[in-house]
Amino acid sequence: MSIATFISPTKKKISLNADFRKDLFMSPVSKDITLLKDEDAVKDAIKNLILTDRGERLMQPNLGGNIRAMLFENMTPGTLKLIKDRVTSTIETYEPRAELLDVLVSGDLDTANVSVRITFYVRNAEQPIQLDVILQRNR
Amino acid sequence: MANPKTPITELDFDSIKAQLRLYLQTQTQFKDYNFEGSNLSVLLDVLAFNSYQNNFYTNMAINEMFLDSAVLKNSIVSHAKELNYLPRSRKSAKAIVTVTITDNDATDSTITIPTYASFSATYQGESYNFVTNESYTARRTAPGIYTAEGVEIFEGEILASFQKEGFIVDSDGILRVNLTNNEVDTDSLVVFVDAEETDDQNIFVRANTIFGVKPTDKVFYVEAYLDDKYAIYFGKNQFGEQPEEFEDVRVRYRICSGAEPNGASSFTSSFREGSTIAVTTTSAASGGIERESLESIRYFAPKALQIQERAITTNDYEILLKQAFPEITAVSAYGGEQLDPPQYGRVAISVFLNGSTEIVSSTLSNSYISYLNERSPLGIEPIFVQTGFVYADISVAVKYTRKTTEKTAADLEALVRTAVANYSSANLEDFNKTLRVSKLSSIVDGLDTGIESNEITITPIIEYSPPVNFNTNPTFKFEAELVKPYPYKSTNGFTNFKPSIKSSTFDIKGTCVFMQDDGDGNIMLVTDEVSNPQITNPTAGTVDYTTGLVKLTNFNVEAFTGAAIKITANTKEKDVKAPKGRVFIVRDTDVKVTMDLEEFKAPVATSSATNPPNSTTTS
Repeated sequence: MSIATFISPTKKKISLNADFRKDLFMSPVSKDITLLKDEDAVKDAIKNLILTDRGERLMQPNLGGNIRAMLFENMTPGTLKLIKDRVTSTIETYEPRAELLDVLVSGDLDTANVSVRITFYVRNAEQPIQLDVILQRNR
Repeated sequence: MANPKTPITELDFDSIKAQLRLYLQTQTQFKDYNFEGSNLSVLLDVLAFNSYQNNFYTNMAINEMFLDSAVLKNSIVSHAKELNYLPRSRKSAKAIVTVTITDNDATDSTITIPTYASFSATYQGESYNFVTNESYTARRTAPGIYTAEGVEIFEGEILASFQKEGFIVDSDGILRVNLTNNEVDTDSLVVFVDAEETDDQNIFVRANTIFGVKPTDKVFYVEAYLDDKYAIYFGKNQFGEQPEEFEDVRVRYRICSGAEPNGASSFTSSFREGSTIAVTTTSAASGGIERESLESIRYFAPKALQIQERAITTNDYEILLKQAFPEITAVSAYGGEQLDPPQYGRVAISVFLNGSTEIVSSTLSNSYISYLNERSPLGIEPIFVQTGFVYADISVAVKYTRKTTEKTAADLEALVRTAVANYSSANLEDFNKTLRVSKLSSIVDGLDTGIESNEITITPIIEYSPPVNFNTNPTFKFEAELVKPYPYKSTNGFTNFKPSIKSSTFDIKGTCVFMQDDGDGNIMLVTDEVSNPQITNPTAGTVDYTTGLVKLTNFNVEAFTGAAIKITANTKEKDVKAPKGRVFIVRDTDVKVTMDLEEFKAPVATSSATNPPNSTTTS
């Protein structure tokens, strides 16, 4: 019997969500790819959804926030509202694990960046989670 | 290892992705496979798409591996090549003309019409070029006038593409010449090896099989190549002489327009300077066809392998003729011993052309026979028997009601007529066909809810166009048992006599008569009078009630109405079978529909009325 068996906690936390990282980062200890778990996995998934343009994913032409095109529009309150709507509808459609609380979209005219702050609950988690995504013309 | 329940038969993207998710359910490490935003889902998309592409490719590749499922023309042609089948190229329309050359300065006794002499025709607004395939000699018929009859001209233009064709010597050392033009008529191919452009020496001729070809024979073979094109190859000094690599292989052929010029009948020519050339058409352009369709190749290629270019069985004759002459709709082939009188050692061939009841021209029939002669066994001689037709008087009595339909009698009658025509085109219009009354009756019953019932009576008709004022002894075979009437007695007259054989009227010796049987096996001629018909000839012929054979003797007709004399027979069987060598045709003019309304039937007003008041009769 290995030593690890003796020193492992008896109650191991069970992760409901587990995904690998985009960069396939390898753990220097286990020499295995590292995982994103629970809230981190959901946050990464939401970020992926928002930054995906429609038609980008194979065989799923409707998936994604399609926001990149919006960044080249005039930064008016209307454009920001449109971005907000798209972010909201994308998350509500494709990410059932997130219960959306709020989406704040603000634009910086000088840098032409749009920052999106998404507040949501992960189902079965107590604390709300805040995710900030900076949308730049050059991603 | 995959879940044993994971299906592996799915082909589309979504199903494959669902399979991958199903597999991931069996592990606990990655859990986000169900959510589209996850990185794992992106990976699943890539995997599923890759599998989908492989599935599609494999499916298409395997489809193309079989003749039945191949879609690409090149694949089908390649399969046909394995079966030693050469898909038919376009064929030039051929016309036969008489050429009259007027040249007052000419003193020779003949003038030669050169090979590839050009003729022009305009047909349906398009201009076409015709050429001869060989040289003809026009003979002097009067001073300065030269005539050549039976000149065959073919639509198309001669392409002497000496320098244009590609040469390929494959790894086996076989020289192939790819013809660059896909409008070629492969019948016109002429190959010259190592000959000057103007030199027609060293001609190689086309061979279709390797039978009897010696190593030194100058032959070439044709095979289908990619993209509707053809290639020429040689016998590699085993089945024909093989040109050396340094020798020029030159090809001359005709490119044509296929079926478009069929029917062109007016030609002009000016192949000889200083002469006036008049062209009289003997036979209008016909026989031009497009290259073989994919479905046709799919159908005929395995059959060509089956019959091996040999006409042995009846089916072989049919396949060979239909393949070579697509204008043929149906073929009937039977032994000469069944002819009357029997002709042993011969095979009788009749064809039905494109739904036409016209007589097949001797030019066409000769080409069919010469084609079959090369493929018939020794001692068997194919002969052409002019195709006969059998028609039928169809009387459809329909009872209908207005309770369950809004259609009028005319609407229903139109439906019935269309149904009869459809039945005919689907089940008849071929040799050896039988008109089944019950089948037709059930079709009529099912046409509309308003049709209560129907009764169909069918009488076969054979038409005969006799030469006028000429003694003939024609025979007509109904090949069915006839209803034998009680013998005719002059004391009873014709009023209640129901003959088995009856004809339309014709003139003999200045009297308008018709023929009918007398119940004793004789055919008599009766004057066409309503009040007092007289028998002019009690023994004009005989009828065999068992076989339905009618024989007329010394039949000399002066005139007849219509295109032919109609001879009808009253058969015992309700179903009517076409006699041997005859095609069954149903004409709309022979169909009589009687519509009888079932309800509101008023009593017959007068005894003189021929039809009940609520019925209409049309024919």
